[in-house]
Amino acid sequence: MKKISLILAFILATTLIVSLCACAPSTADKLVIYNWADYIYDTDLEDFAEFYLEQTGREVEITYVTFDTNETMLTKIQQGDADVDVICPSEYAIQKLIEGGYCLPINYFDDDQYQNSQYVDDRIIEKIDNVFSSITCPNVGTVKMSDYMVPYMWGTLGVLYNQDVFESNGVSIEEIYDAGWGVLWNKDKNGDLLCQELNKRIFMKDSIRDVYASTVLYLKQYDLLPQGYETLSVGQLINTVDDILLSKVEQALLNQKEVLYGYEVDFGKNDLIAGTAYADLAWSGDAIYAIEEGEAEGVTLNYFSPEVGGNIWFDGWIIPTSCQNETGAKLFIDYLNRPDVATQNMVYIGYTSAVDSRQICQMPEVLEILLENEYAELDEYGNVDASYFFDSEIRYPLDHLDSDYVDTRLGVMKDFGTSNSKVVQVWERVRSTGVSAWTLLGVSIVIFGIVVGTIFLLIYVDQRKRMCVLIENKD
Amino acid sequence: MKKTKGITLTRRAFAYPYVLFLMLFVVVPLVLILLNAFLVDGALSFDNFVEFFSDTTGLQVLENSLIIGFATTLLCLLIGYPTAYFLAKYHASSKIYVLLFILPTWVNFLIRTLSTKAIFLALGIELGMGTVVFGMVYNYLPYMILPLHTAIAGIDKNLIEASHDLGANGLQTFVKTIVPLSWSGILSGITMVFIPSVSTFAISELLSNRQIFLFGDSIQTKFSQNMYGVGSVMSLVMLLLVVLFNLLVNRAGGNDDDVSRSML
Repeated sequence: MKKISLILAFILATTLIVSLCACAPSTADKLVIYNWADYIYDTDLEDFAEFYLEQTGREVEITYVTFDTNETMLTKIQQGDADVDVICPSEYAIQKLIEGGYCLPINYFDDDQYQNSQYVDDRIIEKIDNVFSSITCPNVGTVKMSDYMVPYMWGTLGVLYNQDVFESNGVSIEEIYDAGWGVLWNKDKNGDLLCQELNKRIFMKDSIRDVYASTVLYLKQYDLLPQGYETLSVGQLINTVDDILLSKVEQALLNQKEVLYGYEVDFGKNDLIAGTAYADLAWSGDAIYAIEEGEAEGVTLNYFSPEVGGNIWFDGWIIPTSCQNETGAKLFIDYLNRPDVATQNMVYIGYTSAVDSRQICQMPEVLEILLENEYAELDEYGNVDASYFFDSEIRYPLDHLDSDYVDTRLGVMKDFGTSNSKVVQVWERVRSTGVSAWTLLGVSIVIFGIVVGTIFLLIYVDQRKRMCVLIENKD
Repeated sequence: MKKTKGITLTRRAFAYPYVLFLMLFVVVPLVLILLNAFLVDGALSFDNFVEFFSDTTGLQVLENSLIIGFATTLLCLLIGYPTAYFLAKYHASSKIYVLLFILPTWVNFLIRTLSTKAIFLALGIELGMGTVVFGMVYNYLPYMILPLHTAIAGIDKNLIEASHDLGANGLQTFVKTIVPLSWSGILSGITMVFIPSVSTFAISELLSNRQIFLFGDSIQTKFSQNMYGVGSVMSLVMLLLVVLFNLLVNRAGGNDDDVSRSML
């Protein structure tokens, strides 16, 4: 017995020592990044680890965790399940996180130690701070959003359409632009039918918030808003959720079902490229991807943000209170704003980086990446021409759209707050209306009945026949 | 005696990993769903139940799901029974033919469904309720054929001959001998098709461009919108319906041991 316990003690001791040894060299810092899937260039993480080593003299062990919706991420953070150091939510989720006291101030733009903060587009920061001017952080009071977040990617919400189909049906681009959000309802600017071909070939996004924004703007465009709502600005309108407006939205969405091909999340752009659908509610980044892919397939797709107004959105980095490596998180954020890293990400993801295009459009390292990825070309004098990339109205609406339009017509959506469940209810009503399975039930029962009935009828007829034979024989 | 007892104990120990797995991934989540259903802002309440049962939309979606599940089962039975019957009658000894019918299940169902969609699009068929039911029947048919085939192939040939000897013709033999003797197969086939088809949502989303909104979609929306309470209530309702259905089927099977074994 004693021997055994001695051996056991020995084994325990050795394992303890071994495990201690195993722990000892892993003094590397840790950094847990919580981001959307496919929302960063492949080698960024390794490159950042090297950069981190240069800056701090320490190794860093990076873990990349992903989420698929803001809501998943929010739940995880709110329940305290996520030990992460830096997160990249959308603007309304950032609002929720700051209001819940889950964020640490970064003060990125006030701190001189960050070399790349100068590259972030100040128009974006201004827009964010204007829209989210009254966020209250518990125990701190009213705060500026830009003290807590650093914008990463941004874009607009608009209409993606197949230009070929419209043109071959005699609908010009001007008419499409005039129709605005009406394209998704197959209506021209007067509310008449836009294009017969388009019927049942329109996709709507299966995303409650985006659908809501586009629908209220559609109502505004066609003067269908209830009284008193006409005077609201685009920014106010898309953030107004009450019963009166909701019932109007519901009606509009129900009417829309007649012309819809269906709802989509990821397949929409592929269907547009394949030519099975002709119009879709889309985000600018997806639209750029679809247009480029379409070009390769020989389909001319186009995208626009309707004149009446649209939605502009931002995803940004925040540091949660659970952060274990604040320096690392800040270094990482700063690293992502380095012009070449930002360009690489932009090329890979397809969305627009918050790094100011006006500042980086001449930088050799940026042009080099664009050349490599065929977003720029060499002209006859050997100069790099990146106008295709930087002059894109879809990619850089702030540079190319009228500044008045950007200020007054592009609204940012905030959190719906307590009204969210009402919007969900309306959405489910819209989705389930018009679907009735009773015909199906009837048809299948009838088919089943016919088959079973025939069998019994055959048996009955056969029995009768035999009875007759028996009776005849008797006679 | 002691030795044998020791052996049985160690044998039983082989089941512990799975029991642990069950506890962690089946029992614990169920308890969580149950808890969530009764929790509103951290307090015990029936509000989630009130919210679901007072919402006509939710009930209508549930009704649609049940009907689609029912129709799928009926059509599967209608197509599956003759198939299984002729398979058992003419090819009882060769496994190849049975294999041909299970072969589609070796391909991932999402890939199959996407291919089905591509075929519909190529043929110019409008996606909707019809295509959804087609996709469901296509997808779940093997689960109907398999138990039916096993049941029918297991019928003693002498009984069929006896039926003929007693003067029944082919059809009568079929209705009065073969169908009752394959009853257990019918019941387990129905269960294996009905339960997954009621709660499906991937097939309906893909084959109708998300136009057909089913109970599974609704539950998913609730959870993705942070409405865990109502979502849990809906999951519970679904669970209860399945249990109820199983009980009904079990009762219909009477004391047939095969049936109750295949049920659980």
